[in-house]
Amino acid sequence: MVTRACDLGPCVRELEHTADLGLEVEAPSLPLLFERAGLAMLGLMIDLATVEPRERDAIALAADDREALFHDWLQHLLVRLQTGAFACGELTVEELSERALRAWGAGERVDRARHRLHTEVKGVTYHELAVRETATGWWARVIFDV
Amino acid sequence: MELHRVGDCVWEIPRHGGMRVPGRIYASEKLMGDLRDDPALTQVANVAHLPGIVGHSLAMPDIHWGYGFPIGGVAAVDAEEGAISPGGIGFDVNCGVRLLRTGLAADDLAPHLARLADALYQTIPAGVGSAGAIPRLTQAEEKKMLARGAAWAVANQFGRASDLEATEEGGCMRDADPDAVSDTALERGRSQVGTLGSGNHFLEVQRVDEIYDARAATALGLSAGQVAVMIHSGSRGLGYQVCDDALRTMGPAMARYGIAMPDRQLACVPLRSPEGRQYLAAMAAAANFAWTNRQVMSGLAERAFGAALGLGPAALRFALVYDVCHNIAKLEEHVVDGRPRRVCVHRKGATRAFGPGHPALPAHLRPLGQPVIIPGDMGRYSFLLLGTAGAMAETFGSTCHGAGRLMSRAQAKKMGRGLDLVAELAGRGVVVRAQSLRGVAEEMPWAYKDVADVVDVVDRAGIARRVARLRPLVVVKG
Repeated sequence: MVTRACDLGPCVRELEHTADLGLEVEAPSLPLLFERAGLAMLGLMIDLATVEPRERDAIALAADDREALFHDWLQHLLVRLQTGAFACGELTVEELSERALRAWGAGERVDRARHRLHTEVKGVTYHELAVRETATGWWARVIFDV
Repeated sequence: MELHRVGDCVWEIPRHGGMRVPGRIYASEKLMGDLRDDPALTQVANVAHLPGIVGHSLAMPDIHWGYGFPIGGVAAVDAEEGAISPGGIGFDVNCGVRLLRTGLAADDLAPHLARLADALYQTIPAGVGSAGAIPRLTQAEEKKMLARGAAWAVANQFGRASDLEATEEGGCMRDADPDAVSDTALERGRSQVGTLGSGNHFLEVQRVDEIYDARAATALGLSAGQVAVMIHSGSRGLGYQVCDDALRTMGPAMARYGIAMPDRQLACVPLRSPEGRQYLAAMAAAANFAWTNRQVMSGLAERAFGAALGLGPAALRFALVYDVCHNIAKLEEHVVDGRPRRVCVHRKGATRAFGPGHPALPAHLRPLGQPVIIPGDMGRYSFLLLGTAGAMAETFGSTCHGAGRLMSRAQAKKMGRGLDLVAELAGRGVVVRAQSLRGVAEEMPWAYKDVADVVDVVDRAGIARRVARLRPLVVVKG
């Protein structure tokens, strides 16, 4: 299934953090949680409504545990955007285990004339980072350095 | 959190749990009122768990909730036995600020402010992933730049050689090893030399508004009514990636060294371990990137002034007053428990403030103490201070770094909704050019503490002293 920015709605909440920016994300499944968190973070930096799904970018990652994998996923999307190489407007996590994922993003190269840019996220922190299963699905919290 | 007042502006968190030393916070009663329930105090206590920490886990009066370390945190660890924590430096390695003086009078500049703001905004790229201020570097040239620091910029015609001695460390940490920087970090930096970034980074044209110490101001070439330029930026994507790379390595390595910390973002390893040495070498390279970045932007700003005002270098008389780091770890010698000791000082949102006579200062600054530049918010004012003997005795030669946020970014955006902040600031005589209006809302003046309150505390506590106040005329932001 493809997740787009317009699908996020009330599943994403911006946290009140004094210096930086944080997000809480909910989803009925873990792959959807990763997709929503990825788009929510990218949406802090760029108006995703201005990004068109012109190309596909394949993503394969491995990490030591689920939280580290969540961190690395966000960090990967952040670096791709900031180097101007690729802004994702759509995300699909195809395979996800505790320590690895395979996904693809649809989007395009950043075009500063056409894309509306917001705030630069410097990094994805481990501070209060959490990915947990809840009664209704999955929940994550992440704080970014801005 | 148990908190005792131990001086006019000094508060102590007693040792408890795994704290190796007590915490100490510099704050007035007013500032402490805003802090009492803030997670930043827990972060001061968490930092006190660092292996090898000596003295106190310190916080400056601009302390606020960060990630891992609080913003405004200072921690010194023994150079032999201590640990290095990238979370005590931050993603933006050597985020810092510089102050340039000019030969211009603010009254003469007034009719030209809008043109000058446009020229600066067009010359210095700002915003998310900003790039392209200078041609993209080859990887070989980038590595040369990382080894040489600000001198690389001067050799490429940005600013002048005299700027280097007015830069902390002369604009170059000699322990930098460009080969310790990952390919991803190098790639992130290659197009970003000379760019401002976003968030709280800015370039301001300012007016010297008030002088508190005429002798020191004269020695630093400043007088009331003069135009100055302040630049706040750091190591851009290269530095962010150096931090991320280190956290990734250090997290799993901690167990091998028998280290446990209360926050994953405080991951640390012994300074003398291979991972510790690798990080210090990469961090120093990122610091050199930041000094180069600010030096290139100084040169670009001078060119923008020249183009907007039709004046040459002889009339503009740009000169660097000083350039300081806010996010760094440095090996320094300090007196601890009455004896000199080699320590690694982590400063996270804090400024080095060496007192008069310190051998690290160049000859022209040694009688005065180190200049300390404290930016405020974009609507009010910033300060120039000097380091003191008090800072050497109490805070490992450190002081505050800015106003400190009062409001979250979400709150600030909510409060700014429907307000035309650019027009509001124009009404106060401040011309703003920004890439993102949302960014302006997050950085609006009311989102910050009054920097005068912060400066008042460090002045009263004797860990810096006031020299001059500067007011913004033009603000360029990402």
